[in-house]
Amino acid sequence: MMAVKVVMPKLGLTMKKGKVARWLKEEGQEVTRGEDLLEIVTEKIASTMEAPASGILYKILAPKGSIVPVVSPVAVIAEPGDDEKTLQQMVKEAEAELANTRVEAREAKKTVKEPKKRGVDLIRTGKARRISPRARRLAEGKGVDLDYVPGTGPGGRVTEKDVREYLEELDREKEPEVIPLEGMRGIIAERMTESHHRAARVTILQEVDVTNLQDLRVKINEVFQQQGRGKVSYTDLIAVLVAQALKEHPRLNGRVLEDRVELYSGVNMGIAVALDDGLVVPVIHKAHRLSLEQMSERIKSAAQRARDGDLEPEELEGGTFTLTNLGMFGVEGFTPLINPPETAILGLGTISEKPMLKDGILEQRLCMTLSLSFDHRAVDGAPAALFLSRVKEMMENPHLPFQMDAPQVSRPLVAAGRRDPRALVQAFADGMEWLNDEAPDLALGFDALMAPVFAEGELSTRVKELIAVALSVHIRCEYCIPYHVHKAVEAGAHPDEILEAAAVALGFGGGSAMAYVVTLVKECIEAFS
Amino acid sequence: MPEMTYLEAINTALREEMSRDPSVFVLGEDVGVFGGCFGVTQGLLDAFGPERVLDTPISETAIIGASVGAAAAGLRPVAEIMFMDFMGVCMDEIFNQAAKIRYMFGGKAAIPMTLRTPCGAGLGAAAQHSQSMEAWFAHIPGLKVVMPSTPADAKGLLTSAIRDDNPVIFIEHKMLYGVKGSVPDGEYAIPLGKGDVKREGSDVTVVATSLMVHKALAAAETLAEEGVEVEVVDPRCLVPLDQDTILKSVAKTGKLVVVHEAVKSGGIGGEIAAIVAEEGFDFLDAPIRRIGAPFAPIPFASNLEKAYIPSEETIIEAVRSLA
Repeated sequence: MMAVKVVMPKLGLTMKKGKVARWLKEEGQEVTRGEDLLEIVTEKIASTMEAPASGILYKILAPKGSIVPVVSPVAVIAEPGDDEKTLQQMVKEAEAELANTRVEAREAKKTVKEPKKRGVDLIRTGKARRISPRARRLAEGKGVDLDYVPGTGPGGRVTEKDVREYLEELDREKEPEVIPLEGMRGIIAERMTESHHRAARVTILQEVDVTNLQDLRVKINEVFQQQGRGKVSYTDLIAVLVAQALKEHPRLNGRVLEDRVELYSGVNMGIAVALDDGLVVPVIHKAHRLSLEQMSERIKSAAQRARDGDLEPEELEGGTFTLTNLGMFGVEGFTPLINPPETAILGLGTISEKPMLKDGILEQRLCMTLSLSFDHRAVDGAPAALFLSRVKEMMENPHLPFQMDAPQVSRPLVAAGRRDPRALVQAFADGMEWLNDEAPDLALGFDALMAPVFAEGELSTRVKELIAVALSVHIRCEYCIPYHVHKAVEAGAHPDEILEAAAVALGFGGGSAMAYVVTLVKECIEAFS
Repeated sequence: MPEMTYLEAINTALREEMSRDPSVFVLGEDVGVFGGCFGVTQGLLDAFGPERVLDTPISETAIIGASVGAAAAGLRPVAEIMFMDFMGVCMDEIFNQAAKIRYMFGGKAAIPMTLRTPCGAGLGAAAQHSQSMEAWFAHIPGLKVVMPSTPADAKGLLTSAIRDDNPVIFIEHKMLYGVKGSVPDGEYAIPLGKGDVKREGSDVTVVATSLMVHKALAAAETLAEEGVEVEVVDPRCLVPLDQDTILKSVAKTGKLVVVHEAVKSGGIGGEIAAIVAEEGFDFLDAPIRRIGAPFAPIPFASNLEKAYIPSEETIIEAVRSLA
């Protein structure tokens, strides 16, 4: 007689491994051929496996919960007459085999992802590169390091042409492109140097929630579109708001001269316009008197004429404040140089979605950073900050200055949303499946921990699940609540029991626990009962 | 310059040399009354009489044996072997006798004979009447091997071959006999061992022999439309081989394709490629490509024969792979 190895069966074409769900016999117990021996779970099915031979279940190699590749040994059945030594030898071999197949399975999984990378490495390593003799000779003659020469010949071969082009490129790289500091460049250089040297520049930053401003812009543009007018930009909107704010804070609206500071009650707003190679700042005169529509038209026209080089000289003069926008390039905040002899300049940053806490609730908002540079000779930090906070206030409540209705906006909350309890349970189940593949040890460990915790004992599974419901509420786990409500129902708990269990958490969690009891717990009870 | 066919050019060279030198005579199977299997010796019997135009029995051994003897005795025989494929029959007379005598007699005897023979596939003449065996002869010290591709070259090279004091294997291509070209007036000789650039180009060198010169030139036309300038070099003589012309061209272009109709394995293309790899390695900007027939007997079926012979398209593809 010979002992028999019990192996993980291959139950389907695609089955690669199976999990031992439960042993129906214990070590040392007698088994009869054909008798149910263990339960197996695969990704697709659950199945019971029969004993392949009669005898004694001598050794369980893969305990409950083990995930084992197909045809790997899971147990040894001893038949009458087997001697102890042979059996132990067999167990030893089977254990080694099991350990090996697990390693192989893991390695196989790893190697599947790798071969591509190897190909790339071969091409990149110098030795495997193909270099034509002619290219090599030329490179040696010219002292060219071929590692830097890309090969464009057949199969990536470095050819003479590649080396020649590389040499030409090297020559070009040595020669700088010369841009004389004259004309517009000269003026920019001169004025920026003057600004940098003379102004006592301080830059302060302020983040602004522009969600409302965006909503307003959308609304306005809808109306403008119906009226056949051009779209309004953020710059247009902000220019109008800033002009109003400057009216209220004239310390920022003026010029710093040798011996005096000139403050103006009228706002002449410079708008920095980037050109292909340069920058001009056309001035929108009497900006504080312009409606949004007028402002938008003036700015568009000035920017277009700036790009066409058609600005009149007087359009470049008389500015009292400048607006500059780098937001379209994704810039957050910056330290703009003041356009001399003005007192201040406001830089607009990019608009991006950010999580924001409002009254303790996490919300998704649109934000922009304002960068205000001011000349400390003319104005101090506090009044500058006051002006900036006024701009922020206007931008965050834009319907006030524009005398429009506050927009009705509702945004989904990131957390505490109403969700389908079944979807939550499913999400958790899907996640565990994934974990089973990615980190089977972790998944197994978790299973091993949970199984005895919720097993029938002195306390029934039903009671344990009710405790779990209360704890789930207490820790406000949106996945635990539906899962354990579901389990409690399965274990035979009555909805009233579940509600009472959840209510225990109220004693510890007060109002916030109540929020969960009357929302998610309620929904879960309804969903699963 | 008058236009004439390759065949007429060879015929003219024979006439001129026979008129010029009474020691020149022609022998072979059906070269007299019939005028040669392909008509190359047409009219020679009438012009020079049966003593100088000899119809021989069907024995290649006898033809070459007689030629070697006559040459050793001071005449200048021009023997014709009807198909190159038959040269195995007279091989001992060629490689052990004709090729060795001058050397073994310390220069006291010479073998000023010319052996004319047509090579090449394309007529549906099957495996025993279509071969190109030039590599055999190029391997034998003591023989010169000539393979003209144009009427002008054929005439000038045959003139030199007849005047040469060594045995010369003069390989004509049967598909070239009808090809026309301008041929210089009067007597002229092209020195043996001087290659010719048939087309200048800067991008890829194609060294081609015999009929393949024409396919290479046609390929070059197509490639020029794609902006690839092919230089076509015709060595004309395989022994002696004009290495300088080939190396100079490769030095210019950096890329080499060698084309011949013979089987690629063991072909003369391997020799040319090896010379360039040895002497011109640093000129090379790409691997050398060889084009030749597959390692198989020549098929009779016309579609298979067509597929067997190296084509213009194959040359174009090879050049493209390097350019």
